[in-house]
Amino acid sequence: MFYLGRNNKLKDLERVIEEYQDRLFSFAFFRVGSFDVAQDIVQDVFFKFFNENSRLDRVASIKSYLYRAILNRCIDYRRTHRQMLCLDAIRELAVPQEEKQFYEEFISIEELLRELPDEQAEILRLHFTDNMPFVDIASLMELSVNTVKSRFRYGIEKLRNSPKLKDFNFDE
Amino acid sequence: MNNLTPSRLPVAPDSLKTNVINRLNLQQTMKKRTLIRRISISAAAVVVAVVAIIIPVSLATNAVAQSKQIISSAIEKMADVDNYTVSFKLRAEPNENFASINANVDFVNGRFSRSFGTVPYWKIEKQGGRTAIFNGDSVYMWISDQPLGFSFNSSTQYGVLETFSALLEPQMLLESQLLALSGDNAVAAIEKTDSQIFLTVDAEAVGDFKNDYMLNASIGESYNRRTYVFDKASKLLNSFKVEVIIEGKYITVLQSEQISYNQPIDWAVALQRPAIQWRNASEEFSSNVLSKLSAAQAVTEILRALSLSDIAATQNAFYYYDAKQVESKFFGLKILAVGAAFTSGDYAGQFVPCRVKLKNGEIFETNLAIRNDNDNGVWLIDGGVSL
Repeated sequence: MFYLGRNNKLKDLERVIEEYQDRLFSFAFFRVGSFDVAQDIVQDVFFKFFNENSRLDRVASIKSYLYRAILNRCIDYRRTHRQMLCLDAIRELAVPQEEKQFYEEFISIEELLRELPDEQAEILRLHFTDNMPFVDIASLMELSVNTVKSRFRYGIEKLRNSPKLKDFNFDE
Repeated sequence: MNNLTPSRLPVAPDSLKTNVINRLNLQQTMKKRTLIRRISISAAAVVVAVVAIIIPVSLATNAVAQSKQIISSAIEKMADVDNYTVSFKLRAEPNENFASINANVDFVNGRFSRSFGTVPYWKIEKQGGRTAIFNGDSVYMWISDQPLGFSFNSSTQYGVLETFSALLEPQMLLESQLLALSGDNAVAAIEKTDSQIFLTVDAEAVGDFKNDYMLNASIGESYNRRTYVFDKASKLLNSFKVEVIIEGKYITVLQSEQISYNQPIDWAVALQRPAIQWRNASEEFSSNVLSKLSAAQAVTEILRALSLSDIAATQNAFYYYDAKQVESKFFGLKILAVGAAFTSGDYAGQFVPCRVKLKNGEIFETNLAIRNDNDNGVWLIDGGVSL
């Protein structure tokens, strides 16, 4: 149920935030490797989502809109902040104890995915890290399902054949 | 389970939703983020011209002559005035510099008093906010509830008063209008009633608005209409009103409530200063590591120093702020983004967009006002920090 008027539009936004914030925050974190940056990106996307749409109920697919916007912001961030994404630097970060496990997992996932070209790494990240089905990945990336599947296969194959990574487990 | 699937997913911080809603509410109530400029004048400034750029309007020759006559009479009459006090209301944040306006906020009451005696005292105050006095020797400016005030040498009076410097020398204001009436194009509209004469002048926004951040941030930086009402018998200024024109709408931002002439003023009381720390605003700054940087680089360095809680590195840059307040709010921040510097309006410095995360988790986004128009080009934070 969506409402008209600015105050009601704010209520709509609050509902959307409550529904998506955890998934989107995690989605952003496993791309930028920072709680602060992930929070900033997600907040900014919600802010723009509110301002760019006079009626939130007119947005064709809120989920796709938000994921796509955050993915684009993360890609921009990764492109412009390469130094901050240096895994050794992230290892050295003083993070609160309760966040430590997430940073460690980010580093180990990144170590694997950085063996791959970006377009294959992103498909694997979406599938495994974000638990997204191929159909949703295809829609998000604006690719055919077949292209998604083939990039996925190439990625998996490359990881399996990498001597450096032979001990890792790649259950599909 | 595989090595690409996290064992647990992080959840969004509690502050995420609040930050978005707060930011949207802030956007709604203040379409343009207000800028608290501490000093607002150049340390080297001597006199700021107050003459508006007048928009010509067609006016019959006899009306021009009448206008000239009215203004000339008013100038003559002002010579008999020993002192005067103007009570006014202004749409502005009380703490902001005197030029600042905000068409989206309620009026704040203010008062300006001026003596034309041997020692030319004056005082201006915005209720609950900024006050400035001139004791015949120096200018002092302070903000209510702030622990730090500033002293200036007497040559900076006009700079401190900004828009209100027009009230410092009313003859000058009137003469500027008279001058404007002397060209080929008439510049004002005039109306008369039995007891009053209305003089209306339209003025263009002054400054560079390729980036319109500062458009409508002050009367001078707005398209505005100034209406002066003279008493027909005494020829003295009775009242005035300034409207700014935003999206075709006339919004009153400054209005006199009462102008009283030659009423006794107890200057010993009026010129009292609060017992706070005073700092000389005309200080000369030695070159430092920031001097050779661009505005954005300087802001990045200053933010980095704040993130490292480096008191020594931030002291100079925050000369116009209380060190404890700066420390309490900004030390330990995390830099999220620093944007490209820009100029806007008639501000002598530059604005640098930046977004930081404060140690309390709040995301603070602002356009930091930074200026280096001092002898050694030292960058000083001048506004946008909301302290």
